[in-house]
Amino acid sequence: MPSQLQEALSASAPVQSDRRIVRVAIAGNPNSGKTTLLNQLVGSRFAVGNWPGVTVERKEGVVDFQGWRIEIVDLPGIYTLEPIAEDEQIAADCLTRERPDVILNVIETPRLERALTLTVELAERGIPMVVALNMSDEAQRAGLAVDCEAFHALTGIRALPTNGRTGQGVRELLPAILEAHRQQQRPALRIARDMLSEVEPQSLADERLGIAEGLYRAVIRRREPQGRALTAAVDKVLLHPVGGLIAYLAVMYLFFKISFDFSAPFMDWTDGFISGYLGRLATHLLGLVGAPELVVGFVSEAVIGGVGFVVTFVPLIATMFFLLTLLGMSGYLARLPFLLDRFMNWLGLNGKAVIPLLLGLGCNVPAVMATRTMESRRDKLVLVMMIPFMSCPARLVVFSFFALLFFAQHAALVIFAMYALGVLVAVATSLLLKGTLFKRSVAPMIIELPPYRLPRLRTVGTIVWSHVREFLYRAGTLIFAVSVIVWALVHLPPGAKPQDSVVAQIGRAVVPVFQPLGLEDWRVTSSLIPAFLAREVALGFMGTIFAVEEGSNTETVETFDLVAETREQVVGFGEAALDGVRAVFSLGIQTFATEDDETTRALREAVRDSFTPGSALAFMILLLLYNSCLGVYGVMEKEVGRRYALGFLGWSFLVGWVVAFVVYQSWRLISGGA
Amino acid sequence: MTLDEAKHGQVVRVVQTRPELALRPKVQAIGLRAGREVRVMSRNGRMLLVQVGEARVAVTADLARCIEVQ
Ligand SMILES: Nc1nc2c(ncn2[C@@H]2O[C@H](COP(=O)(O)OP(=O)(O)OP(=O)(O)O)[C@@H](O)[C@H]2O)c(=O)[nH]1
Ligand SMILES: [Mg+2]
Repeated sequence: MPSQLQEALSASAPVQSDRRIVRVAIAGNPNSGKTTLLNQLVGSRFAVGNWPGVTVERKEGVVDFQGWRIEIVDLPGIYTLEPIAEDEQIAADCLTRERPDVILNVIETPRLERALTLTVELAERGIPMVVALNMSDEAQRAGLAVDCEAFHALTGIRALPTNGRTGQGVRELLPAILEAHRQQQRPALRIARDMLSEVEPQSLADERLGIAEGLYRAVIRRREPQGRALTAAVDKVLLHPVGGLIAYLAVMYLFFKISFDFSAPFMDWTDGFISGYLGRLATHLLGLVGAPELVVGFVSEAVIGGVGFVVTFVPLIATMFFLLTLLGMSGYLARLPFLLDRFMNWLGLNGKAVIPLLLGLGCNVPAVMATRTMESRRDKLVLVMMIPFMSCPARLVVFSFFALLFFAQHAALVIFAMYALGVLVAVATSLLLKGTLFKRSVAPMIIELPPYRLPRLRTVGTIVWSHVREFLYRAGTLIFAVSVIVWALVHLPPGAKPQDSVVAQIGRAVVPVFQPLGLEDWRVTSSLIPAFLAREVALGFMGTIFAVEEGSNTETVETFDLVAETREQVVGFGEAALDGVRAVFSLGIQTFATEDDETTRALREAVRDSFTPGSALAFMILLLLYNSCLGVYGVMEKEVGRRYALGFLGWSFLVGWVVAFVVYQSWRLISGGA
Repeated sequence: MTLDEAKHGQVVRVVQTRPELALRPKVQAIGLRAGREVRVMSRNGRMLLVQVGEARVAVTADLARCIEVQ
């Protein structure tokens, strides 16, 4: 869907002054703070992070300023206009083909020397430019200052210091952009010969590098550094060949431990809040207004049973995204290519591949897109085939439900095993591809390690919220819709018992496929079908069916003391918060010492009756391995084409089925037929 | 010699980056180019961590082999 801005940018007609529109493109090295500045300028909330390659597609925003409509497009980071990776191609294309009115060149001031090579190359294009000397705070700490007057005199480009973290100086970019546009201030490099680097240039590129070096020496001012460089000291430990690996394992362990233990009390609380409080409140209110039984049934079964059930897991999802965002914003994620390169080599990939894989732990969709940073198309293909096996929070929701129910004592172990299985299958897939379709040597790699940065809580909060909102949105739309449809289908044909309903018939039709995995119950097999849309839909689906079968909550709630019950919820939340914090500081993973709540207990019992531990494992494995959701399929098709995406579907179903089969049958043998 | 032969802690000066290097424009733009001083900060298997100016850069040994230093 080409946006207005895209059309505007690609139109080659000169700007008509009466339209008063300026089209600005943000260009700069990776991780220089381009997206941060765009967010500040237009109030958007695009993802930022402290590693190169956060933005892999164009992002657009608009701001009205002094009667002008300033349309700004943010681009992936580039070092030169000679792109290699796909994300760089996107940026270079926009800058060279579409010719924006103004280029906003964002520079990481502490690394000005490196940034200027791009600035010089951009300046050659003759498009009015403004330079944002970003990260002025860090430059100051490092004792570096830039002489903006000298810079302007030598280049014809206005340069302004900015601080993306605080927003300082950011608004001042707008008048500078307008001025550059209105007066058509084209860059004019006036670098004297004696300022150039002493290396004899052998090509145009060399000459450019020489000019950049000369410019750098002419504008940089060194002062006393105001802080000590922490980064080098921390890297001594975290990048140590042995210590670094130990630290990595510790980080991953803490990631899971805190995700589980901190969120568990909150999940208990949400569970009680939704089914015990909201559910009863709703039934109570509906009873008061004399709603027909069908409506009460719909609310308690489809809304509370289906959607509410899934929403219970929000604390888990929020905690996980919070920790992942911390890893990314601190700068640790950017170090993993260095640390884990050896392991990735064994898979036929270079270290860079580790970043999309780790992002997959958050959500597979952006992870698949992040493969655009890979320089080789074959690496990208292999990586795209691996990512969906990285388990995401949506699948974790399903795992934690089943693990708790069937392996209460060993829930954490079972969940860990699921994650490990996903990684193993990803590894196997890449080894298989390495040996067959994609025989190749490992691609060389160069990657810059950003300094460690203390994440701002607000930025982290915004990012976490955007993920949680996505999950809630899915619960409110997709899962709600599926719950409603199931609810209706379970009641169809009219008057039929659930086990004779349409859903039951569909479920029974696919039983033969899943019978060898121990999945014979129509309620289970039918829930596998909508799980293709999103994993947690399976739970919402089952929740609805079982809630209907229970037919429990339709009796009116006579006594509902709003004040007392509300107070109870608030107190409960406080206790949950305390428990969460306490659990984080304990050794080992405690995972969900759930107290059964009245209302959900019935549901749990019902699920327990339709599985054995063995078939529950098989069910989890299927949901782990078979594709990951419709969204991932869509983005795979976009990134690598339908042929590979369909190929992956087939492969993942095959692997999922076979592994589930082996596990289920082995479990049966070991446990003696259970 | 080439950059991959440089020892931990050693400071070397780049003589040239070989033209056959596929990532050459990027490598040069990041700072690994003729005339620049490079300090080897750490090594880990096939990876080298070097300091170029204010930037910390990780490169693979096969890439470092295409960078002549002295
Ligand atoms: N200290 C400091 N940090 C900043 C400043 N501006 C941005 N950052 C941080 O720098 C990191 C990179 O910011 P992004 O906006 O994602 O950078 P980008 O240029 O869009 O990066 P790519 O999309 O990967 O090319 C983030 O961790 C930001 O929080 C600043 O002025 N000072
Ligand atoms: Mg960005």
